[in-house]
Amino acid sequence: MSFEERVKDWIPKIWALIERMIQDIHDREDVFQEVMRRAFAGYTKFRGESSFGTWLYRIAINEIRRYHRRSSPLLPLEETIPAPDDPEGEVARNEEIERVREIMDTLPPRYKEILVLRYFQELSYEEIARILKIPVGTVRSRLSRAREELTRRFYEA
Amino acid sequence: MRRRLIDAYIEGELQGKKRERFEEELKRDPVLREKVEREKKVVELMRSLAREPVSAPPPLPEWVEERPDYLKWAVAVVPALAVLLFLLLPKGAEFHLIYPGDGDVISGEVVLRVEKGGRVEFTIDGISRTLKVERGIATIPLPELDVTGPVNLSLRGRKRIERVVYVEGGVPW
Repeated sequence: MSFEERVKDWIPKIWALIERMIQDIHDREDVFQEVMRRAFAGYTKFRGESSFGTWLYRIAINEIRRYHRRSSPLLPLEETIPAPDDPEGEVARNEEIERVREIMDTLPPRYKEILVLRYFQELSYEEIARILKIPVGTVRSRLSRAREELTRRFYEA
Repeated sequence: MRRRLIDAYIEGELQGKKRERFEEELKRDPVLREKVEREKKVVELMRSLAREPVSAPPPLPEWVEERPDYLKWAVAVVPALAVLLFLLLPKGAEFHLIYPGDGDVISGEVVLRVEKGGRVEFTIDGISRTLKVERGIATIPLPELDVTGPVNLSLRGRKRIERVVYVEGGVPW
């Protein structure tokens, strides 16, 4: 199967991961292109020891980490204005969701990435462990600390 | 230990009696209850955020679409090249020897050092014969033949004949 055929179904997931992890729209596209370039270049060496998806996620995570290392994680936040005809409760909820988004962007990248993989990509502990190359126990403890930290910052704000 | 229970509860992994006991504890301990409720709420908010649509991914770079699939090419081209190479390779050694005999009767044998056994075809004065030779020194008896002039003896085989060691009465050409 060619690279293009194989990667096709994974593009929306990889893009969603990049979109959650990187705030700047232009940087997202650059990171996405780089992920695809690296995956394409490495495809002939892909031996199928892990699933194609895990392999691709790993490339994406490494590229996102590389991006975070060379750029400041505290970039200006995108504004989301709730629709004026929203009921009051929904406006409040949207504000809370927005606050979670903002706080997530200020978390250390390793906390943010594990939260995104678990709650946004809905991956199992085992899948996350394979992508991040860490034991399942470490996935659990890191996820726990990340969630605790996010909660602490959310209620402090 | 308590932290593990909280994690399992929030992740929905705590089931049955364990869950009931933990929920009882939550009722009794308002501090713990508040902590768990807060974390649960944040997880819920994260999940709501996750449900928000993401933008469409950018198209794949052009080079991905245009660059050939090397693996596919290799699978198609390599066997074809191998067949072509096999067909172009020399089929074996070919030797020409001339008998100087003039009115003589040719007889004797050709002694060959054969590197790899196989079939050898030899032609003498237009008469062809195919013989099977083994690896090592092979002796090919020649048919008796009246000749009036020089005679060309050629040996040809698909297998490798290292060289003709000795030809009785013949001269390598």
